[in-house]
Amino acid sequence: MKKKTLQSDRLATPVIELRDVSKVYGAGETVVHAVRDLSFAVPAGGFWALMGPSGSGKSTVLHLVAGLTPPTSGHVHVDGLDIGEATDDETAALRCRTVGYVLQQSNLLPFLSAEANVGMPLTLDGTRSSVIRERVAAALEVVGMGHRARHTPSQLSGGEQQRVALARALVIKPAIVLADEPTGSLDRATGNAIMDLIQQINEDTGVTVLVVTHDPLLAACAHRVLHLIDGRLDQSIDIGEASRAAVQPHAAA
Amino acid sequence: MGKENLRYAVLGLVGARRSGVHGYQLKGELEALCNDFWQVNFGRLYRQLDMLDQSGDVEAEPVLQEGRPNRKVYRITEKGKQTLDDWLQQPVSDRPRPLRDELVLKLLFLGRSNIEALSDQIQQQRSIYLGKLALITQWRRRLRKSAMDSELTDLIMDGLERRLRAEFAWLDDVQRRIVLRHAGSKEKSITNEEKDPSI
Repeated sequence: MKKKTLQSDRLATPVIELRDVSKVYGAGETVVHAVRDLSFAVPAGGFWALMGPSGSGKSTVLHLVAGLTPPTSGHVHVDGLDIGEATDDETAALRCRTVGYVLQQSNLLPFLSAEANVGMPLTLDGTRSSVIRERVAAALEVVGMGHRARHTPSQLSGGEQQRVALARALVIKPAIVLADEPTGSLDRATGNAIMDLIQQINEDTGVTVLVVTHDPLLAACAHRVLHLIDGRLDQSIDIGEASRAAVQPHAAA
Repeated sequence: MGKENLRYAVLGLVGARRSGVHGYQLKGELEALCNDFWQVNFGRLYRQLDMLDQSGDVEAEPVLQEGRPNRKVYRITEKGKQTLDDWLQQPVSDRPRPLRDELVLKLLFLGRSNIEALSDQIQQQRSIYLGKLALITQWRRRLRKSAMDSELTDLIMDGLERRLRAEFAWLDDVQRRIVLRHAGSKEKSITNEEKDPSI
C-alpha cells in the first residue's frame, strides 16, 4: 500500500526532462546537428524507448541525460540537476550515484570476476567493502547470475555478460537506467530474455528506464516510444494505446 | 485468417478434444491459439460449426441444462478426421499477395505526390506494429501458462513476431527511401535560396 502511493507520487514529477534541446558537434564546414529542438519528459518509474535510423540522435540523447556532454542550447534536467549548468564534479556524481549505464558491448574488465566488475562503481565511489559485498550479491541475484559470481567475462556467454553489465548498472541503486542497444549484439532469444529482465526490473523496483534500440519488440515493452529522425522528434507512441488499437476487430473478420 | 483456414482451425480444435467441446469453450481456445489480431465473432464460429455438422465432419449432441436452453457438445466424426488429415497433407497454399496489402496499395497511389499523407500512414502503421508486438509478448506469457503445447505455441508466436519485425523494417525502409529523401531534397533547395526560419 505504501509503495503504491509512493509510486503514484513519483509518477507526477519527471525525472528526465529535455526542453528545446539542441546539440551541435563540430563547427564551420563540419558542423553536425545531432539533436534539434527536442523536448520530452519521462516520469519517475517510466520505461521509455528511443528509436530511429542510425544518426538520428538517439545515443546523443543518452549522453546528454548521463551528463557526458552539455546541450548546445535548451535545458536538460536529470533528477533535479541542470546538466548545462552543472560542474564536472556534479555530473560525475550523477553517473556514480543516480544513473546506471548499459551499452551494446558489456565492457566488463576481462581480468576481473563478475562480482568484482559489478562492485567497481561502488569501489570507485569509496563504499565500505562489507556494503559492496552485500549489494553486489543482491544485484547479481536480480539478474539471475548469483551462481556465476566468480567467473571472469571470458567464461560467460554473451547474454550472461550482458546480465552482469546490467547488475553493474543496478548496484548503485540508480534512479535511472540508460541502455544503448542492450540487445544489439545478442541473438533473438537471448535478447528477448534481457528484454524481459529489463521490463521486470522496471516493474519491480520502479527504476526509470530510457533505452535506445533498433529492436521493435524491445521498444514495444516500453510505456512510450519516441521515434527520432535527423535529431528531431518524428513520432511519440503510447504503447498501451497502440496495443488497444491493435486488438480492434478487422472489418473483414 | 481466411474462411478456409478458420474452417480447419475449428475442425482441428474440435478433433483435439475426444470428449467433445461446446461452442463457448471453442471460442476461447480459438482466440488463444489463432488470435490473428481479431476477436473471433461468435456468429461466424457457429456458422462454421453448422457447416461442419451438415457436411458430417462433426456431430452435435444436445446437452440438457436445467432452466437454460440446451447447449450442444461437438465431436469430430471419422469423416471429419479424414477431412482434417487430407487437408494437413496438402501443401500450404499461401502465396505472397502484396497487392492485397492495404498499405502497399496506398504507397503505390500516394506515391511521391503526397508525401505528408504517406508520412501519416507510415506513422500510424508503425504505431500499430508496435502495439501488435506488445500484444505478442503478452500472449506469449499467457500461452505459456495455458494447457496447450507450449513449445508449439511458442513457435507460432515466433512466426508472428518475425513477420511483424520484417514489416516494421520494411516500413523504416519506405520512410528512409521515399519520405526522407524527399525532405532532404527540399532542405537543399531551401539552403540554396534563402533560409526560412519557420522550417
